[in-house]
Amino acid sequence: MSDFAPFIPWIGLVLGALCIFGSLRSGKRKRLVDDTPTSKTTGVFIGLVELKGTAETGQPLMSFLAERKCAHYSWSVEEHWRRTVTETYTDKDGRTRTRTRVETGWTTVANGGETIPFYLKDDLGAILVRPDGAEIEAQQIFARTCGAGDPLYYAKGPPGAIMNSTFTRRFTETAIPLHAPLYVMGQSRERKDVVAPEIAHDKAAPMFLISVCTEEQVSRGFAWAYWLWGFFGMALAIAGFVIRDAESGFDPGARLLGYVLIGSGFILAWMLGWAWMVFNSLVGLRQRVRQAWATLDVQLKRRHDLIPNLVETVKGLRDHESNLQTELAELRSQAAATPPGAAGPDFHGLAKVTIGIAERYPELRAQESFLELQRELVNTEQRIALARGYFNEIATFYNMRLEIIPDRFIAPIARLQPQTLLAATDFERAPVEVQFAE
Amino acid sequence: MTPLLIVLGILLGLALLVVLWLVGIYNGLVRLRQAVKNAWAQIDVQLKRRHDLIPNLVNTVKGYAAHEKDTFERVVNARAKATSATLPADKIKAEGELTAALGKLLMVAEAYPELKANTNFLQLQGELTSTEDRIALSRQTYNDAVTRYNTDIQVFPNVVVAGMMGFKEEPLFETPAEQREAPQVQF
Repeated sequence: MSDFAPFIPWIGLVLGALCIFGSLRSGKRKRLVDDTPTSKTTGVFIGLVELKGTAETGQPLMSFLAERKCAHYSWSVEEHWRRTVTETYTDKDGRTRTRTRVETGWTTVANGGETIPFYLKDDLGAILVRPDGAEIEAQQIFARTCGAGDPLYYAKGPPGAIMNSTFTRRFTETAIPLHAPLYVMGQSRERKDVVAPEIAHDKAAPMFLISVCTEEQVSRGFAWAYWLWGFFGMALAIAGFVIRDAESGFDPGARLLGYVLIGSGFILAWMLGWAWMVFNSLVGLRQRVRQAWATLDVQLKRRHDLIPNLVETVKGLRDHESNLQTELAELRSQAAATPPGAAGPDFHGLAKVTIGIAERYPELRAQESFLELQRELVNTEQRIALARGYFNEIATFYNMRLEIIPDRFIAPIARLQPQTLLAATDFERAPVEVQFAE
Repeated sequence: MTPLLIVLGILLGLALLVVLWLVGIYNGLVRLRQAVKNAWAQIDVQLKRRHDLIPNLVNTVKGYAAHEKDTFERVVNARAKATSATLPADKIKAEGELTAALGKLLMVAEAYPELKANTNFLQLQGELTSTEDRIALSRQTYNDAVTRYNTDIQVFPNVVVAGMMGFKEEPLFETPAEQREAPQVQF
């Protein structure tokens, strides 16, 4: 044991450093959650998006234990065991003694689960989410511990028993139930089958999280992880030295100052790591603000290119239709032109034919095209409004970061400047008068 | 093994690790820059698709509309002739033409109910919208590739490698000022 003693502090320090990494990773993810505005499903752009909605699918899975409709479930059955261990040992006086010890535990005897793609639905629409590769924080929908006499024991568990079994089993299941409210943060990309985006796993994306918790709960979870990893790492780093000193026979109490110094060194390393993480995080946020501006540009260009062509198409149909309607009306009136007994062209034989044609060309077909145009105008302006809203929100988060303490001390290193928000110009604020021509 | 050799060995190992790490960063930046170029090319693919598709669709729609108008006009002209014919022989001939023209119109309407011109126009509207949606998505993909690349050349420690190896920021997609205004819809 004394051979290892010099290495223990190093192990403690390495583990402590790993804990710093874990802590900073949670810190980075908390910032992403806090500083990314929530998108609406119709406002999703290609990039890292945050969404809130409910899980929907036309063919839900049936969960195994609870038998509830869901988009994802994961279950496990654990069996309890207990054994008594008798061992011999040599005590400090050199005598051989025996002692007995009782060990217990739970072993997983069966587990399973399934996940399917589902739609995240909010008040404006729905978007496809492919959960493969995501971190899923699901809801617990089943938790029961029972003995062998309970019908559940063998109904949903394997036959037989493990060694030293106490014939007690614990059944647990977590799932994303149908219609469950979800928080999703992930990378969106183009779908291959339709002209729309989807949320899917991306190696290079910083996060892909599907959670039944709210955004606030997720953020707080990361905050707790940040602090707990940090202090746990500090404990490990100091413990390495304490163990080494105890093994070498030194009195830990006398070396208290040394431990405080190690703790302070750890906190210094933690703070430097924090500064590094914040610098990178702010740089990333600035780039995403610019990306939000560019997304707005994309929607404006789409409007510029699309709407005039749609209008021309509708005009073309309107002109075509009005010509046809005029001629058809004349045809119909002519079909009854000659009363019976009078001389003149007889169109009665053709009346049925003409009426048949008129039925296929009812009055207001062009209205479909007009409705379609109106729908697309509304859709286009909504996309633009969503893009503007998103830009303003992310620019606000960014500007806040440049002002709050302690981020405002890191910002100058990256030469970050505040970003102006979008505002309506004066003439755009005035109410709009709708006028129809007389 | 003297302590000096051990220390040298560890330092050499560390130096090797650092070099590998820097090479990894460089390769990553190269990959991201290539992704930007690829995404730009994908926009061009969609623009070319629009350039090739839409004029042909428009011509098809115009063509069918012209055909439909033509069929109707034949009926109208035949009817006018029938009305204005005075001699019985002319009347019979004119009414025959009218029957034929009406029959053709009815045949067209009955045999091809899906191919009415208004359906074509509606399809054209749908295809215009879908084409612009594809272009918008491809531009967004480009913007995302640029954002990832620009972020990666500015974070620490990549910024050091990027500066030394000459990685520059790429531009995001920009709409010219005059195209940012709302178009006027007027009938």
